[in-house]
Amino acid sequence: MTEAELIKGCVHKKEACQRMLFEKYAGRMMSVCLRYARDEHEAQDILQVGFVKLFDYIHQFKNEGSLEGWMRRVFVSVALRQINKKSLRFDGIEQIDTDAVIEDAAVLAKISEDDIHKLILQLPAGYRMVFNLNVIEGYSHEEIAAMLKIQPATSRTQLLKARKMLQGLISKCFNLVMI
Amino acid sequence: MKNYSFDNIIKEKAAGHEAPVPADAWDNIKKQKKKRPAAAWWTFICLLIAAGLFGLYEWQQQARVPVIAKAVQEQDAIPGKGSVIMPDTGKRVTTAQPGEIVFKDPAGDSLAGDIQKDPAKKTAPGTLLNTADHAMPKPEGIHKNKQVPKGNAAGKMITADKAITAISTKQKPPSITRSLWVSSKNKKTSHQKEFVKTVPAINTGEENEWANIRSVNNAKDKKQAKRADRRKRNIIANAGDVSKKAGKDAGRAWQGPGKRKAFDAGTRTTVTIPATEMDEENEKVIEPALTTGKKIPVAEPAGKTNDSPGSHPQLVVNRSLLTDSAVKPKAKDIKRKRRTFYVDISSMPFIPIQNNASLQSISRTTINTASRSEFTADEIRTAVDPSFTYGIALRKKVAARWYAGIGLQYTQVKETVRLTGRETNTKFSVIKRLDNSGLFLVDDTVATVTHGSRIINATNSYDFISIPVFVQYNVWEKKNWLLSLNGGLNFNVKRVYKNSIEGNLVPAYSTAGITNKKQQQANMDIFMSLRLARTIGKNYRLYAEPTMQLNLQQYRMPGMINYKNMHKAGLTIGIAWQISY
Repeated sequence: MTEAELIKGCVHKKEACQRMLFEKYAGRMMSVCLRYARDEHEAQDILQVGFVKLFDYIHQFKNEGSLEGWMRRVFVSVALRQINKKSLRFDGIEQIDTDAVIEDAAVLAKISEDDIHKLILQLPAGYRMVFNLNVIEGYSHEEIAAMLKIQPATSRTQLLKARKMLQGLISKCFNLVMI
Repeated sequence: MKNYSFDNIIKEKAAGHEAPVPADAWDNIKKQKKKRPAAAWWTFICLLIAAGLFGLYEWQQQARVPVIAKAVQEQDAIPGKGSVIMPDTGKRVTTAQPGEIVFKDPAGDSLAGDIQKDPAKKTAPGTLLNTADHAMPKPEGIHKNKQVPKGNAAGKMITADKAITAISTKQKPPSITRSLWVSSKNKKTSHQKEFVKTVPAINTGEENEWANIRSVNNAKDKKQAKRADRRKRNIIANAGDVSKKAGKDAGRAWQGPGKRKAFDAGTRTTVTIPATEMDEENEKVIEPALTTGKKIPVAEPAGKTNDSPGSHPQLVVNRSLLTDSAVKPKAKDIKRKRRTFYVDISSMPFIPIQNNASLQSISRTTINTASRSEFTADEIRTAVDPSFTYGIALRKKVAARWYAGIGLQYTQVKETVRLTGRETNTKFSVIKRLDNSGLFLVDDTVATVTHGSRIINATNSYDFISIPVFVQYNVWEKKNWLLSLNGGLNFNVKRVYKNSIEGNLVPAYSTAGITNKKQQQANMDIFMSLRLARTIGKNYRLYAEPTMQLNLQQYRMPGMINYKNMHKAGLTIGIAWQISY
């Protein structure tokens, strides 16, 4: 079944097509939900609500980009709604001391996806949120500021700190040092 | 390490990651889905019932019931596939989007030639990639800067696009059995830029390439490319069984990791052309005759083939023909536009508001074999009951927010009539009496005249068949809702009054000039409404609109008790169906 047929089947509320779509993308969307949620239970809730909303609004997908990209945006918006934004701290958070910084991209590229995912989850909520939205989803700082009701400058600061912290985590976990 | 590199690597890793999904996730989703639609529908039905009850109450109080509703429309665009051909130095080229399947001409006939093998290079728009020297006349004095001579005429320099048109339409060498693709300049619209901005390409190597290339297609080119793609599929089907060269992943865009499958050689592809990667090993390309609609007499592969014996061209994926150019549509394609119109099926319960002509009296004379009755009503009461109008209409978009339409409606209105007056009955009976001599019996007629009061109660009906002609203006649109203003004229082309009262009724009006004999050939109403509609599914909208219809000309039909104007106030409920062709 092609993607267009799959979408059409989902628009017509065919359960078989919806199930197929779920099985294809559930893993990746679960990864998205885990990156935004505070714990696994919340991530599961976001996943379920996200797919229900997806099936309701899939007729709005206009084939102007990838289906996966559109689905990610839906799940991100669901995640942001689910998460209590007031509980996110955007203050300066104590960072891990980083004596070594990753310099070689080739070395970083060899780290597995699962490890990178786990390291991202170790970031504090505020850092992680901004890092996810800017680096992974591609939103601008202005857009992030509007979504999270913060200032764009706060978003930039959080991103810098998140990046530095993540680099420190990576170098610490994988003993990557500059020679 | 620069932040950009770090971010890209992290983004790539994170985007490609898949987390384990709970086993009961799908069951929970199913349960949530089942609850929500029922709740939404019940809410909607309860609201409708409440509105109906309120309207009934108001009608009993002789008041009008206002109602409100909405509607929305959507339509998807399908991403097209860009394919570009740009002849340059007399050589032909086929450029394709990643994943686009092109025909391979193993025989090297006419349009085949060498293609670029470097998948990393993206060809600029208009770059000639694949040519066949003998396929086209080699004009002299060709400029490499996108200028080619017109047809065989050497020395005359025109722009590439014009040259292509000239060559493809006029200068067809005998060896060419296929028409040319026409390339277009790479244009990035604001839509494309916005797309790129909001969804940055995921740096997964092959996906990145595909995402970047896709991002430059604009909506118009996608539609045209889709048409071309449809034609190509027809040609693939007509060409017979084709085999796909096993290459890299097919349909990778929508397949999850771990499920990547290569094309199987020998598999027939007739339905879709999935986004696949280009095959570096392909060397020759055949262009399908999509622009002319002709079938391709596909030559049998001259060399090795992994297909079954027979004249089957190899269906391959050409990686090296990656380009970010878009298709320049031909005139034929530009003219053919997708047409959409809407069918509205509706029912309108309404309250009639009558405005009677000033009727002074009405008389009725009935003559039977042995009796005669004359009735004169001095008290006349007529009341029209609430009723329904059923209609179907066709609508079409005529401007940005304007629609025009025409339809057909049927209305039946019941009228309760009460006539109170005096009646004189004359009854004739034949008796026998003695003649004057007293000796013989003769027949004689006796008339018996009685006077009295009479009340006549009857239920009559009006039947209307009318043609509404209307315009619609969309006032407000948001997601699944639409608010619009409708207005137009209702031409009552057929009006029938069914009078159940026996005898010949003759009304007497106080206004001069009104007679029974004067009948109008046509009757016209004007109506206006406010429609609120909601999208249901992809092609349907449910709507409700409070409607007011004013009767401009009095109804005067044979047998009518009392001429009148009959206005209507009601709530139209209907469903609109979008049809595209």
